[in-house]
Amino acid sequence: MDEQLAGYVSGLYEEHYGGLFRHLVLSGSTAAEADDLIQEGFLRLFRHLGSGREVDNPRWWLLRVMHNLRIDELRKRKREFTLDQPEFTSLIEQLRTEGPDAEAQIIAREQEAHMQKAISKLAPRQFQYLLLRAEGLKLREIAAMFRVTVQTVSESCAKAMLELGRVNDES
Amino acid sequence: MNRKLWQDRDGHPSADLLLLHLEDELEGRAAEILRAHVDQCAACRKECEQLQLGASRFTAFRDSVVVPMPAPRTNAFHERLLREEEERSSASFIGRLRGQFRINTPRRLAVAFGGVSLCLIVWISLFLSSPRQSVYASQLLDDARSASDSLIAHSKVLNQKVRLRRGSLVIERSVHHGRPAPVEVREPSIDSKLQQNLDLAHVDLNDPLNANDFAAWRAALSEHTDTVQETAQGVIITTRATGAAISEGSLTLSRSGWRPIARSVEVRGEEPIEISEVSYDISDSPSMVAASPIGALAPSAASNVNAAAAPVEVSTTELETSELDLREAFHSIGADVSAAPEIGRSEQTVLYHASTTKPGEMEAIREAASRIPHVKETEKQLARLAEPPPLAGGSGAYTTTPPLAAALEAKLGDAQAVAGFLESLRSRSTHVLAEAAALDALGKRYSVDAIKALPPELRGRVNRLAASMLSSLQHDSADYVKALSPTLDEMAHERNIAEPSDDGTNLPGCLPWQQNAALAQPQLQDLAKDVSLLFVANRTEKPVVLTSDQLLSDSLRARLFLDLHLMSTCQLFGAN
Repeated sequence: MDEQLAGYVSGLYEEHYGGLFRHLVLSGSTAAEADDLIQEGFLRLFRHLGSGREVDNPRWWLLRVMHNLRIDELRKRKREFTLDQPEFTSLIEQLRTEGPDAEAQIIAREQEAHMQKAISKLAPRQFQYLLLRAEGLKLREIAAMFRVTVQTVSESCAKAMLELGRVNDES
Repeated sequence: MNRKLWQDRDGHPSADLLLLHLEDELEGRAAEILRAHVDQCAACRKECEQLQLGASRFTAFRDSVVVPMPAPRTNAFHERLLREEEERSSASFIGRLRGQFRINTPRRLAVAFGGVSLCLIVWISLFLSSPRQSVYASQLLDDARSASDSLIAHSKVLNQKVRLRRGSLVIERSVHHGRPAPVEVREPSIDSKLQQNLDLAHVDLNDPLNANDFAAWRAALSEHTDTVQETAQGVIITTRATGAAISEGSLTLSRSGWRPIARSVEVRGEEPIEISEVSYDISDSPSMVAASPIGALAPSAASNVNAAAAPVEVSTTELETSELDLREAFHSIGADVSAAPEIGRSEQTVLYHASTTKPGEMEAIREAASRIPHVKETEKQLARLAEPPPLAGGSGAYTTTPPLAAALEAKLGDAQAVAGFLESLRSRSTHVLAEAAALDALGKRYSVDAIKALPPELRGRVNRLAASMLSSLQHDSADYVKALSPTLDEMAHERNIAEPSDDGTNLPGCLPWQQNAALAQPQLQDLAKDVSLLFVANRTEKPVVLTSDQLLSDSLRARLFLDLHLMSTCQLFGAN
């Protein structure tokens, strides 16, 4: 183990901190918990690499480790997934509204309002699956993380995606 | 997979199969069959398009969310990695030492442990004044400056309202980081001694929480020691000076964003100077500041008031802040549940009324309230906040026969055990109902729209308060359900009453916490009422024959709802 590895992991930390922080906050962690999870995740990566093992895709590896750490923590608290952190404040309200003109902006706002409504109706698991899928994880990888079948993840995601895909058709 | 599986969809594959096809997660023959079908089927292609559209909309949604984020402390993390490596090395070193010095019996190990502990205590004392704490303090100050620079680089303006106190003297300032520096204003009412101390501590009255000024004061000290302490509010850097007029200074940085939120200056032989952030917001451009909630508080330095000299006009934001301070203070001592305080507002004051039978609680409530500006106690009841929890009894002419009272006694053994069990349930039920009522009252006071109208800092605080209250409610509800469940389940089993199935209708998905609070209360009330009717005689206005099956079914349904809805599903905290 040398300073070179510490430098490499620190570089990854700097590069991925923002994305991982946002993912964890959207997944239900508070800012403090997210910060702790990221630190712990990167420490584990440091130990993992230090022991001579390899990691193909550090971001996915970290997502999986942090997910497991979070599950452990939630099990300790005997709670299922929640999105009850104060930092979730910004989740729905802070959508960009960049329209070329006022009318387009109003339409965009209405569409966003429908989307917000549809997303707020998603079940927690659906939200988690879509979040991880948006991070680039395969359905089978998500299934492995949650210890469910690929079909369960696929059914859940497909239902949610169809609902979101039909939002403005129905409104 | 084969075509048989598609038959329930009129010969078309289901959406989950289409998704697996789109994601290339099907293999072999199954993949070929499905690809061939989709190529020829316009309806399935359309469904695929909708799946892709839904996915891209979710991704766009995720990308558009702005999460307040602290700057990554890469340097600190890098240090932690190096420390980790040192610790690992030292662990193996200790192993070698144990072998070398034959610390191989428990007694020898205990002696060695004692010696090492003593060394550690000495080392920790030295560490607290060591250069490493100074390095950490310097890094934190750098982080604070970087965070401020980053805001400016992104064309953001940090608007802070800051209050300086020394004894009875109060001075307020509005500071806008990211805008051109204001014309320097000297406060006419402060004495020359205070001004001198402010100058010595590098405190600029026009920007009293500036991290650069704190860093400059610290750098100018010939000899100093630093300590860094992490608290719930933030990270406090305390610098103690040797032989200087200013004996100690501290700067508190918020955990999210490394924004300076408080500063203190200890002057030898004089009252300390305390500076704290009252409110803040981040706006996009200087033109937005005037319209922002805190922009109206002190648009110019001329409006800053010395409280000792003239009464301060209380703004809406200050009243909001005081009310929230009060609610947080009540929550922190548990009075929000046990004393069911009513909180209201007059034009210039936050009023509260509380009543409690708990010894010493009223004093604690008054003590907590006395520390918050613009708050007064009132004797008058302000509003009826919540329904009282239902109690077994009633006042009607008829007495019900509790259908499972005898079964409960047979199960528990004797009347005393039954009384103990019922009292334990009643006490838990009363408590969770009071918690649910308090949360519901908070939800009614701070509706989704009301929260939207608050400045961001207050918005976050309301949501944090609600999250904390909900967390207690979830924990205590789980405890209540756990105490009740074995008896309930056993009796339902004996009577062949099936557990209501979770068909998804009980899961309302993510709701704002206000709606969840409003839904939880009646469910808890129903459960308490059903359980009471099952085991305890009640008085009713009309003759009623209670059936155990119906009451048990209702109890199980209410429990399932609480389990799925209150304790397991997600809660949205935000102005959605």
